[in-house]
Amino acid sequence: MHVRAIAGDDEAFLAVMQLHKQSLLRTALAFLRNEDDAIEALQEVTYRAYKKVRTVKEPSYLKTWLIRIMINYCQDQLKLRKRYTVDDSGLETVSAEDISYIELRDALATLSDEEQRLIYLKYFQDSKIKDIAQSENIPESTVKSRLYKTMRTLRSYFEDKGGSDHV
Amino acid sequence: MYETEEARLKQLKEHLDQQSLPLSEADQAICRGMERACREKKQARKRRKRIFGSVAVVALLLLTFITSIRVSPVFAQAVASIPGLEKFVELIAMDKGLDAVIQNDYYQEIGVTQTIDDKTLTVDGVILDETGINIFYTIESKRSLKGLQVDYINLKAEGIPEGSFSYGNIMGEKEVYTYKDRIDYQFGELYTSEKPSFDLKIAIKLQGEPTLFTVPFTVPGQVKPSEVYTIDKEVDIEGQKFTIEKVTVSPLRVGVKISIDPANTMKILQFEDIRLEDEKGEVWGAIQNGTTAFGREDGNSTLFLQSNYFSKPKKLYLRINKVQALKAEEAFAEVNTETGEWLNQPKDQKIQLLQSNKHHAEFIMKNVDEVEFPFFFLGSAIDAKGVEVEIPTTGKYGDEEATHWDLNFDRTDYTNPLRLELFAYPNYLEGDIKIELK
Repeated sequence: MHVRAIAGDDEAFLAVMQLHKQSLLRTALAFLRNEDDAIEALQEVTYRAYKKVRTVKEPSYLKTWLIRIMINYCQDQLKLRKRYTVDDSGLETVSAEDISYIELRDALATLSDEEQRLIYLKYFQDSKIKDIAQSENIPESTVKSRLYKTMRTLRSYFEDKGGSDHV
Repeated sequence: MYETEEARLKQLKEHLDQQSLPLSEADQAICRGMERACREKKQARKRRKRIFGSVAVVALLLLTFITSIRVSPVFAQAVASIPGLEKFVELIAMDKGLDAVIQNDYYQEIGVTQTIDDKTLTVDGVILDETGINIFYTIESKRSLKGLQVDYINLKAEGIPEGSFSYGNIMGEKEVYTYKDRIDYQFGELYTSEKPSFDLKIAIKLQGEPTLFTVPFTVPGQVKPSEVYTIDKEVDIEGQKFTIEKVTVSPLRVGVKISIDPANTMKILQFEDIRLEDEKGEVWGAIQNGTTAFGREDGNSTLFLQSNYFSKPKKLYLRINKVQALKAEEAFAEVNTETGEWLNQPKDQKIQLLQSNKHHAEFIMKNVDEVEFPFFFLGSAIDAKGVEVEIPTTGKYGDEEATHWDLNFDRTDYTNPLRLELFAYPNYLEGDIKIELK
């Protein structure tokens, strides 16, 4: 089926989108944290993917490739959002568990776009290092060393926050 | 090592996975996205097909097609003073050397014609020097010449060395009654003759009907001798060495003979910005329309630049700032056209194989800053048994995102994988080479 999608077959493309729509939606929600925006993102990503689908080299990387387009789109949206709106999430009442998530998400937001992508693909999509390497167009060893470095950055982020984490 | 962080990430993932998803809205979003893309693709496809059609023809005829042409007033005046030349302006205006040839009255009128049935071919004039001959000719008819095709061209003269041709003009969609073209025949080595007489054969096809014109002509004027600068200077760019052997300045072109050090760790591909510069900073660059280089297997090649023969500057420098190069082991692509598998290619993987079978392969390279890579990047193809597979037609076209190359192989009984020599690639070495010629 994936092979046909790369050849530009509409039906097969639709089937591929169906197959990966849950992963794509979850990706959009993880980054944008809002259902309406996630739906809009899915539409945009479908559009972009359909236009470019003939440029994927390996069918088996199609999922990672789609997720990557989604992440790029979301990261661009977040940058636009930062410019124009104020984050008011702090006003909601939240549980202790939620605070832990919010902290982690804040920590993730400090990472570079590329680091965010790597972390997301590895830990949230359970993508294989090999697939990530292909999709990022870098060697597998580089994926590993960048992931390692990113984990170190995350740790130092929490360590810097120190006591405030554990009240 | 980072178990705590990994555990936190895993927890967040599980939390996110529990979120319910708006699936039916998602289906609608996918449909809307696809509809929009389909609509645009249909429009784009129409546009691209047209471009491809014409560009493929250009490639076959070894001609660069430029739609808008700017001509300096001085040049326009010089052209106007020579009867019959004004119709060729667009065929010579892209070359400073040709521009100077006209202004210095080195173009020679010939005016020999042959009429076959309702078609008349006229050799209007020529520019002849030791490196080659440019022949300007016209075909006229009372019948429309729309769709005229030049099948082959043959030029004979006593002792004429083998050389390379470039010719062909673009026919529009309109009904036309005049076809004009410039044949650029470049001799493989310098050639002079006391009284040069040529025999030109031009075979054309119009609506499937062939016509063969045979036009003998003699060039009356003296051939201007070339000026040769022997340099023999080894230079290097990021450690890769080559020698500028000599520079030959002739009216039609300047040839720069270069030999490349076989001990180099990288293969030097194209000298993109090689140019002549005079003391005032005026620049003569590569040939835009015609043969750009003669290459040889042993690493020697001659590159051709637009001529400054008539400009007589006080000082003249040859300058190079960047060359395309690849590590020797990356300078070829090895690909299985049946499985679409790459066995070797440059590590940065800028070129991708879009689709392939034994007849045909389509390669693609993403544009950098929306600029197309202007070269054909592949030379010859050798199959797994070491036998050459000819690529008789290649097409290059582009859209806003990428440059595409289409190759058609002349046979399908070859053994995969195919080894394709790369002779252009967007990987650069930079330096500042400046050699004083005079």
